[in-house]
Amino acid sequence: MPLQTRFLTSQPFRASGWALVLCLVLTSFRVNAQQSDTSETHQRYSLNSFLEHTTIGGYGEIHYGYDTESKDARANLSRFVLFLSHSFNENITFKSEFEVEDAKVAGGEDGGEVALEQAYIDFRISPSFGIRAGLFIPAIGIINETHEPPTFNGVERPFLETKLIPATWREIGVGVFGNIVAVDGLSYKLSIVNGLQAKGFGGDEGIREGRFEGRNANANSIAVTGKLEYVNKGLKLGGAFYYGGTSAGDTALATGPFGAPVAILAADAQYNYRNLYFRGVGAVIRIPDAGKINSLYGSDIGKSQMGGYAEFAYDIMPHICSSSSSQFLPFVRYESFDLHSSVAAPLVRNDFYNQTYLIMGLTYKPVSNVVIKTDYSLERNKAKKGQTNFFRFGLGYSF
Amino acid sequence: MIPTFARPVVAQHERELAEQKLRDLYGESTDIRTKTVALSDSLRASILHLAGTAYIATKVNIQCMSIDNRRMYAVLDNVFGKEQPITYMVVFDDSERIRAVEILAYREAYGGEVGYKSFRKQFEGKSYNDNLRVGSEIRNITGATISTNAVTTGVRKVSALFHVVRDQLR
Repeated sequence: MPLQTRFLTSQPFRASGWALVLCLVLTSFRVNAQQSDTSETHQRYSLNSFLEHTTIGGYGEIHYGYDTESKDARANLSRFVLFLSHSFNENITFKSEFEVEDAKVAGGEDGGEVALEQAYIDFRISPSFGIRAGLFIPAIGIINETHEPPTFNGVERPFLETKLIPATWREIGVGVFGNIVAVDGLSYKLSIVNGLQAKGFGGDEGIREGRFEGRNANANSIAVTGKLEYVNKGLKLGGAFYYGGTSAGDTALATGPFGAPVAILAADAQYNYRNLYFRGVGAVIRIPDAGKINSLYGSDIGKSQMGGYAEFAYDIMPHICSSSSSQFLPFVRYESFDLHSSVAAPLVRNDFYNQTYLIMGLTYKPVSNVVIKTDYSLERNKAKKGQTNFFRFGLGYSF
Repeated sequence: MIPTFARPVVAQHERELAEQKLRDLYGESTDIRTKTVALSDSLRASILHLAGTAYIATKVNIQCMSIDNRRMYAVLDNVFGKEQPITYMVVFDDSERIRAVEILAYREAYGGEVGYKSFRKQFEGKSYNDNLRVGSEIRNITGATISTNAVTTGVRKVSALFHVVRDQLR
């Protein structure tokens, strides 16, 4: 955390534009004052000022993609995200994530989004028990919770964690979290959030458009979701579930908070041994009432959807320059998933939704929080429709 | 030029937390005496040289104990995670080997894995002249990169500190 940022934000911070400008102007003066006044500087380092403060962070990414089939190239500032968080004391923290997608939102045009990705308060009562309430991200898979560009290989996030697990998936709710003290390395998360809306489901994007993302969410359906995670040195294993209703008050579909349920099981593994990095995710989604959803809303959601990916990366930087703290990682990832792995009659399986991706690329991190990426992906489907290869280039950061 | 601060960056209630942790580890009746050691500019320059990171205070409190007829020492410190300080303690024996690393307070939503025993045990038996760096002697925890780096840097710094003040503790 740069000193200036911390200093700038060491007092309660009003997030209005003018205050930000004023603070930025004042920062230069206050940093000078800091250098000449060690007692004030010490105040900043004393524990109380550590604990009660506001911080700004953020991440962003810029993508370039070239479709070798349609010979079409696109450049996009995909994400610009600001974190604003405030610690009220040692135990109570507010966190938020404010996002602008595609750089610009203009009336009537497609694309572009301004959204609050997260806004919640954590009450940490002990290491084994805390409460989280607000708009937050259920822990399912890897990318949903941890999606800062330097944390994953490849310009685009894994396709499976966009199309099957609809990251970044956030809903409003309340949950508990903490360590399971009896087993070193084991932690839990369990929460209740507003449910999905079946009206938004479709074969193409699965459950993605059924999310409310905190926008006047219909809470007539609710969901329970949780994750167990185990960490031992370079190994991290996670198992998550989600079970929730989707009728969102539409009694023609179902009644009760868990009517017309969606059930998800997801497992993830990450392993790092010396310069070798592995990660993998597998997920299964079941929608028993898919037939009813399709006939009611004229959609084509699969009754079950499943898939997985595995990725290997190897940091060759220690072989090039052993004293360097930068990383240079060639990687390869294979993804396979089917959004129509089973369907309810009269719908027939659409082979276009049975997709595989082979992505090979390079990740260069001059410092741990800045990343330059390039990759080449072979994007295939069983219907052999619209298959293409993509060349991508990306720049990302987080702080 | 190393920044200078008049007092150690540790609050009283954290010192109490540390003493309780030491009694949990080594027995309720452990005799713990606190010795305050001054850190001259040249000592702090040595820490910076050995650890590659600066110790900012000009004084440090070291808990001295005698366990099974062996002199043991504990150093308490705070290091920044992403946004909040992580309060940690390193216990050394008289040959400067690390006997324990304890996380006394972790205050952030993510990265709490540094508190796990499997992570902390990696430091045991090591000393300031081992390469206490993530990716070298210490393994990273995916998803907790910032806090694993922070604690590792902290332990490396405190190990160097202990090495340079060792003679003053006799």
